Amino acid sequence: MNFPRIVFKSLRSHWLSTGLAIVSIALGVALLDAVVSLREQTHRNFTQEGLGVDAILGPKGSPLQITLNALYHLEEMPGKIKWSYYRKVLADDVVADGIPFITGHSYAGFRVNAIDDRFFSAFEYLPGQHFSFRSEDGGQGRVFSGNREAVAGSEAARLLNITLGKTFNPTCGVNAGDPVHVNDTITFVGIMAPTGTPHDRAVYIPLKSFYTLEGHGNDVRDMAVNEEHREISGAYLKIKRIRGNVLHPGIQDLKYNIGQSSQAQLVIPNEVLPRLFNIIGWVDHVIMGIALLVTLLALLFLFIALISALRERRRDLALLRCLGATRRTVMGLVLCESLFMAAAGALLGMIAGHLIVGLGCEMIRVETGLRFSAAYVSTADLYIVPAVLALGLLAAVIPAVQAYRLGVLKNLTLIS
Amino acid sequence: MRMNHLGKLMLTATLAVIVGGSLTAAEKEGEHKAWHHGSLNAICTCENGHAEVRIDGDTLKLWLVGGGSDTNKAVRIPDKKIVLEITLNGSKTPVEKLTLTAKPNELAEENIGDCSQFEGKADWLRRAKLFVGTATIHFKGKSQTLRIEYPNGYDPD
Amino acid sequence: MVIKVEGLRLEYRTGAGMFPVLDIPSWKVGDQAQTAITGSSGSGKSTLLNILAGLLKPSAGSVEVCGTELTRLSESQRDKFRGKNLSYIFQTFNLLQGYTALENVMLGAAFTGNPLDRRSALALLARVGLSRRSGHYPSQLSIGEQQRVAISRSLAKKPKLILADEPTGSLDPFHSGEVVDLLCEACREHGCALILVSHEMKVAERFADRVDFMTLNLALSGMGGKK
Repeated sequence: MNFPRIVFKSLRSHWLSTGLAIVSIALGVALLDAVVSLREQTHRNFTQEGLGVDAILGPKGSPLQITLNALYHLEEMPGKIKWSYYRKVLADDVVADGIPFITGHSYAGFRVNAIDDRFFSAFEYLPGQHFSFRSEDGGQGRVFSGNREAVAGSEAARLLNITLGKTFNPTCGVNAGDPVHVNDTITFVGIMAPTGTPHDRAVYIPLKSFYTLEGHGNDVRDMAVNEEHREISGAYLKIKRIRGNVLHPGIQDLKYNIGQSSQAQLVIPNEVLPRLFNIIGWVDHVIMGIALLVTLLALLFLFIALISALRERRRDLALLRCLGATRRTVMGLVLCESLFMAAAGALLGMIAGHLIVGLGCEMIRVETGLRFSAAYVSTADLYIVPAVLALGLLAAVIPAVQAYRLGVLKNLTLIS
Repeated sequence: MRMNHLGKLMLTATLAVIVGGSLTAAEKEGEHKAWHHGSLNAICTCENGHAEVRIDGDTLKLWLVGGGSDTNKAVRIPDKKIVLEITLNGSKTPVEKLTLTAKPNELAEENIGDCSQFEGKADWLRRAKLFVGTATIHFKGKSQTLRIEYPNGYDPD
Repeated sequence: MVIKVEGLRLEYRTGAGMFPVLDIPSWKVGDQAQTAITGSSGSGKSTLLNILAGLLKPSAGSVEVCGTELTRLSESQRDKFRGKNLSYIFQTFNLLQGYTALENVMLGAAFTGNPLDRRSALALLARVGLSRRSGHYPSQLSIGEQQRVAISRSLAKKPKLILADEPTGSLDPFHSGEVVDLLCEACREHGCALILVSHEMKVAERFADRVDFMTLNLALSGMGGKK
């Protein structure tokens, strides 16, 4: 019979209040942990260096809409820009490279984007990371070469059971009920290796093949050969760097210059997305506040549980004093009981929090292609256990002091 | 504690303000933003329009932009050039003339005679610390006086 | 001597002045002695035991137990002293309710710095005839059985002195005798002294050495004076 065993026996003898205290702390911690993890992973997903894009040349309209469409395959582009204008921008001194694209088609709910084939060799979806079709990377097949060929992102391929050689007819639009290009059958020739980005959820066809799809009309068909009339949805731009891999400072002048035109704008994703988070930041704060409140209430419950347990245990504590336990020992008992409950609640809560994220991240991945992970170690994971332990100690201060000041004789009189 | 991207941007901005000194006086003019990091000079009044001026080495660049908070909106004028009468270092008599030629923003489909950007070169610009330049331009359909006060900008309000 | 008391006084302050509770000029108890203190209820016998156990500090005098002057020790030191050298048996509710009989016995040595192992604890329970009830909780034991567990527990730390305050107070005469005999035998076997307080003459008669508390405590007879 040693001190830890006495602590454990005491907790067991009040198993109901002990259990409730642990569960309520776990609930608060799970909520806090899950919210912080999801928030941090969301920030990371949406702000990781613009997903490889320094700037997007797009039509006039909402910069956020353009960013969401170009990078996350959500929303729709608010217009089109002329090919000739894109070429003019490409010739600017600060622009290193450009990859034009056309959005607006879909297949079974997944976006079909027409894009220049240099997207697969020159584009870095993350710093230093290029798309791959190699089997050792998890890819299959090759990049398209003909007009009626397509490649699929890994997630789109998985969910649509796409295999090499499978064919499809693209839908002219992104909404249910939009017309299908029934006479344009396209064959999958490649499946991209997983990237952990929204590009996993898209299907890609050659840029020129867009113009030759039936049903777009002769004007559009003419764009395949006639650059003067050609239009695109937008272009990913790579901006030149100066020393220290810093973006060329001329990017702001470029943005201004393009902004004065009647047909286009330059959108810098790393400027747009933080503004988005600023807007939804308050929702985020409220959710965090609720999670914190739940945790604090749980610790208040712990305090109440300790106080009421102390009232019932006065006789037992007096007896322990009689057996030779000092004031400090009984005070230590109360503190250790509280620490145990706080620690158990915190650990249980962290596990539950990760499970919640695990359940949520699968849903998020399926819907958006963004990769979240249940194993992600968030700020909460680093601080929550010490914080809850500290608060657990705080909750135990008053009961511990009461145990310290317990009158042995007064409570022994109850015994004799 | 890990900082989100917005937090990092804000911290960097704050440090830049502290380390680099206060915002330039010109940027403070009417609290309106100079999009090219130059100095804003009101054209007659702040609400009427601005001329943003920036010196890069021996080149003076000038952008004609909107009034009020529309300092990111270009205002085109028919003038093919702007001739500034320069008074250096607080003296009362103009001693220099600086000719700014139209530099159309091709990306905005500007042309000479329908242009918002002007540029001029001079060796003395490299050493310029304080000067005032005046000219007459056809701004928003009227002949108006352009006054540039370098480096602080001009705000008559 | 296991107990040496000189000039022991305990007074409480009341509205009417100081009220003397204990006034014992001198009292000694030899090592391994077994002494019964008799007296009426409310005469201060339990108070004397509390002082001997280090639970209460006298107003004046010297109290030497097991060779240690208790009046010079701090409360924490007295707690530790009690934990190593003394055991205390009460009338009722001796045991911690959340612990089995075996665990209660093991608790007896928990604060000595030399904990008791399960085997030794079982042996102590066997000594009082309760080895089969080792896994039972106090609520599952009769009062007499609880007192026997308390006796086992009191021996766990191999004390030099056992203080028993009305240990048979809640028992019928048959079981009273059984418990007292067991306690005396156990103390003899373990070589520790026993001070047993009781208001029952039948219990006290089992002891060769008996002290009448009315004689010992001068505060009761009003013969004690301020020194």
